[in-house]
Amino acid sequence: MRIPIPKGPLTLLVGIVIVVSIVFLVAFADFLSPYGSNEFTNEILTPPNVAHPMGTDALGRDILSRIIYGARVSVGIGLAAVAISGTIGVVVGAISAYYGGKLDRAISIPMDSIYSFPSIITALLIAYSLGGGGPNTALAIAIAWIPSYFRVVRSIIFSVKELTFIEAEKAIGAGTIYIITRHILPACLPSIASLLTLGMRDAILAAAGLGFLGIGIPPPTPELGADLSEGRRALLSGAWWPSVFPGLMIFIIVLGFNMLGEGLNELVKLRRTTR
Amino acid sequence: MKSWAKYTIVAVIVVSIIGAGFYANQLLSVSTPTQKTLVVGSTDKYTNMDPAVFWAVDSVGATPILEPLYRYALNSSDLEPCLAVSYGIIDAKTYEYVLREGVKFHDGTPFNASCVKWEIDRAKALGKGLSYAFSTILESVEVVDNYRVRFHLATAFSGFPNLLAMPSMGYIPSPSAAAKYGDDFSFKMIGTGPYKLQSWVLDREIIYVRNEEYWGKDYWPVNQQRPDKIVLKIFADSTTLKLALEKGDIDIAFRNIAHEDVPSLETNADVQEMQAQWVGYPMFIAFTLSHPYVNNKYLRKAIAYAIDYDRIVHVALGDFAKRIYSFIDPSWESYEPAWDIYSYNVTRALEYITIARQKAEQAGQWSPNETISISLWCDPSHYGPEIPNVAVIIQDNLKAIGIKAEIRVVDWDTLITMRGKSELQSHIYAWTPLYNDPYYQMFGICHQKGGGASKWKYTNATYDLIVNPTNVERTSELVDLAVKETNSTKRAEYYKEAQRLFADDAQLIIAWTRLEYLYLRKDIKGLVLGPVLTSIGYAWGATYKDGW
Amino acid sequence: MVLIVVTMVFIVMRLLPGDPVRVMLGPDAPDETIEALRHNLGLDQPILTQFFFYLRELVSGNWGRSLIQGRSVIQEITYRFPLTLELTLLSMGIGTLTGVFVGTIAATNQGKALDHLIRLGSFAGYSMPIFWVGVLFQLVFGLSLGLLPISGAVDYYAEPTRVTGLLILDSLLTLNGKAFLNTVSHMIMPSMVLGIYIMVPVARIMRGEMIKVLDEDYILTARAKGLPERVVMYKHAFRNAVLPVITVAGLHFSGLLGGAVLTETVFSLPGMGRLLASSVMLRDFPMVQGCVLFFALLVGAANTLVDMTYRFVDPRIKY
Repeated sequence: MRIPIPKGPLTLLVGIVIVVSIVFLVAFADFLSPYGSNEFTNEILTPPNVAHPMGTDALGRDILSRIIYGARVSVGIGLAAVAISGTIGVVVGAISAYYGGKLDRAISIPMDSIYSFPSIITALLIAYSLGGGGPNTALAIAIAWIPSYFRVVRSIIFSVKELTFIEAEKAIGAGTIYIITRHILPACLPSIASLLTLGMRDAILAAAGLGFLGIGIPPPTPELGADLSEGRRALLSGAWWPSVFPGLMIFIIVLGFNMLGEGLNELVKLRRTTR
Repeated sequence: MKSWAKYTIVAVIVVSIIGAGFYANQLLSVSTPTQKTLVVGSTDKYTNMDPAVFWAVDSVGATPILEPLYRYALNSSDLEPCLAVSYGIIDAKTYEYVLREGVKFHDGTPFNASCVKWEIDRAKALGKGLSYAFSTILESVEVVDNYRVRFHLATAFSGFPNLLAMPSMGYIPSPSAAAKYGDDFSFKMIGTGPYKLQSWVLDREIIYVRNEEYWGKDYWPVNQQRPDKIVLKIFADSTTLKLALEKGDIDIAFRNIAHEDVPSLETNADVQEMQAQWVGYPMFIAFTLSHPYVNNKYLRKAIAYAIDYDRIVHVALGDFAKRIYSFIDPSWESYEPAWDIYSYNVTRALEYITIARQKAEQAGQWSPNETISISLWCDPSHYGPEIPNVAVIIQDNLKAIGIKAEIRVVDWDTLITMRGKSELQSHIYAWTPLYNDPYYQMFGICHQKGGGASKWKYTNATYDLIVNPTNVERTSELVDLAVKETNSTKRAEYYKEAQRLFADDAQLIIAWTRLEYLYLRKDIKGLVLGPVLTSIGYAWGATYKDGW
Repeated sequence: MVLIVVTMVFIVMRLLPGDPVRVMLGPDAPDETIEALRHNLGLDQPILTQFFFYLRELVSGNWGRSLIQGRSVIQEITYRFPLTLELTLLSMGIGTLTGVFVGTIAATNQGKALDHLIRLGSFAGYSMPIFWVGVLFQLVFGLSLGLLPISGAVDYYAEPTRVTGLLILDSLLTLNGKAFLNTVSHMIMPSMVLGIYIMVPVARIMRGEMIKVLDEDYILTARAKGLPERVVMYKHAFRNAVLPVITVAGLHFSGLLGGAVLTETVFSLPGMGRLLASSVMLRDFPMVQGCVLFFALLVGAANTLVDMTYRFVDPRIKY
């Protein structure tokens, strides 16, 4: 029996719901969070209970509050990283693809090298050499992911470039800037939206990963990956909550952006085929 | 036959062959019985037994084999005769040791004054490892006769007997062995100690056997040297070490069971816990007095009263620490609990803040309503992963008295480089003594020319808001007096006074020392844990198992 | 590609603030000793000279000595690399196989509940941080159920003799049953966790390709000929869908290496990933450079391998 659930829109819908809730959470963290992110209590490592629905950590801080604020940090880094790498990647990709030839080759080679190397290791190296801290981590992730945007935009533009009507425009003598702004960019736009959203997914996972490895925001600011890593140390004494809940939050945030991005992708494909 | 049936039959045959192979292999492995063997497990990496070259960790591994002229007693920081029977202080720059007669190295060669001279000269010349301290203090070694050695110092140094008792300065290996083994010497160490080196597989295990000819057989503390054999097994990490202890494959888990692995051991009926408080980890908060805000002594005192020491020790450090009251070890004669004037007292802290602000305004240091903000640097890679949590607690404590602290987590490299350039406004640090004499820390920390004080800018300031200039002058003076003072009681008095004055200025806020825990099988008895870490190498020889 | 990576790392590490020599000697060492050691290590030469020395040494097989305890870089790497290789191969294998399986099921049940469930699962799988999944596995299978060990590659008492360094293989080669069981039980969880990272894209591609292929005319022909469904599946549909799967798996190899760093940290496996992470922490330049270089070579080799397999599977592709 085939269940006729339209896949595309459903994914998009779920994605939007999750992301919007996250945004809401992040924006109103101060109101929604039951405690401060650094409020010490004397209840060290207590399991989930009424007062602390997600338990407390090794210093007596409420975990629910920490993950709410932690979400803010993760989303913040993600946005910054995507903004930087998205802008640079798209612009450079567009230029490189449009002009082609030697310029394209000169840019592509280093881009490909960085791309084929494990991104998280690249980000690790850069973040560590810049020292810790939120902005540096965002920058490191941004740099490591530029090649991904570069490649996608470049391939889109290559395909658009070949379209005959561009040739026609050129034949008429239309200016480069005109062609780029009126034809090429709009063609990429829909894909870019989903690209950036999926980029958020990668950036947030990377930020959490770096936090887990010990690089990133200095204490006491809550960071989901770092909190998870810290929580691991209590695992053997039976405390599962300091590591499970931060991870759960990362999962939900990333899932939201993932579904949103994929949903947008489906939408783009749908539009393209119906055109 | 169907193809899937064929494949299945082939698979079954292959698996059975492999299985038979496993079984056969199992039958062939035989285990050898052991007799009066003590097995110690460790995660430390031992690399070298040559005292002139090795670093701190290695010295424990060398202790069952090598001995100094005077060594530390098992459970205190007092010196007792070992390869020397007595020593005399001829003058502040000359020490004469009378050596024990009739002692032989493990290879049968005799121990005498020329051996001592050979080793000390060698250590001084190599200038590697920890023995580089020799190069500035010792001038020459003189063989007076076969059993008398004189040490001529370059400068008066009252801590010399302690220096000579340190493994890297004073352990005497066999010169003939050194000649025989050449480059291999560090792995084939021959000494005079209660145990001989039988074998050493790097990163695996070190095996020691009882020295039947040991000079100290009757001298041994409990009159009975127990294990015939000691095996020091190296493990990759704490979890593996713990597993080995639980299984009974090792008798003692020595350095380190990680804090997170402790809870499961505590409930184990076969395991007992022993606490060790070893010399060397006085942890404190240091201020560099050239930075704003911390260059106000009332502010520093306010901070000293604002810190919740108990919370740090119990919550952040999980009781793997203990509050201490000076950077000088409590087991030393010159220990003065000078920092017990500070305790967690928010009211007093607030009083001091008010005074600090007033004085600051008067002196034009900062304006009355300015937010005081301080950066606090720390390094978890060197001092432990709980350190950032300690910083978080301190930050919270400071917030309560109106100070905004920013935590900066860096790596060891960066921390010490920045400290060297006096760039750290405040940081968590320790000053581990290289040798068991107060001079090392006193000079470094309280003397204006010391490596600590000079970088922290604890210097003669004419401005008595920063430090009390009389304190600064006097502490340097006291240290200079103490190093020349041959009478140990007087010396202790000088150091004690210096600690009191120094504590008054609160340039360092002494907070805690690390506690380490050893885990042993329940049937292990007789292990003595003193303040000197290396003595444990010697203490293993006095341990025994129920039923031996 | 390799050269660029190496240069970048070299530059990055050299420009870092901090002084490795001071670390080695301790904070109170006198300045002359520090300078002497710096000279010994060649760290006082201009950067370009250091770089050329380094390249020359690399090519001749000397990858330098670690700043921590002076261990030979190449020795450490070759000692620890096999475990990472083992983890990577196992995860690749498990991930690809399960991915193919799951993808096929999704394709043959297209549109039905199972398919949707699988798609949901793949979204979830790709959104889960590896280190979190690892911890969950440790909690459930290790601590609560007590079924599997939660850390290490093998227990010290069951260690097989080192032949290749791939512990499971070594225990097979030396016919050591105890070691085999022990190593397998240690590696199950890490490989499954890291395998998820491969399983998701493979399942997706497999599903997509299978759906496409199943619609093709020649499948219709085969069915019309009366061939049993199973043959249709394996002989035709499968074969053609496999190619993109290999590509995808290959593409994700470098991400797998990155994931290995996280997995090794969670499960305390003494492999190269963990070595890299801790060397970065400790500012051990030679070790970091060595590891990064090695990773780069690895990725290069993997890409070449994928290309070769591609050519092998589909002889139509010519280069």
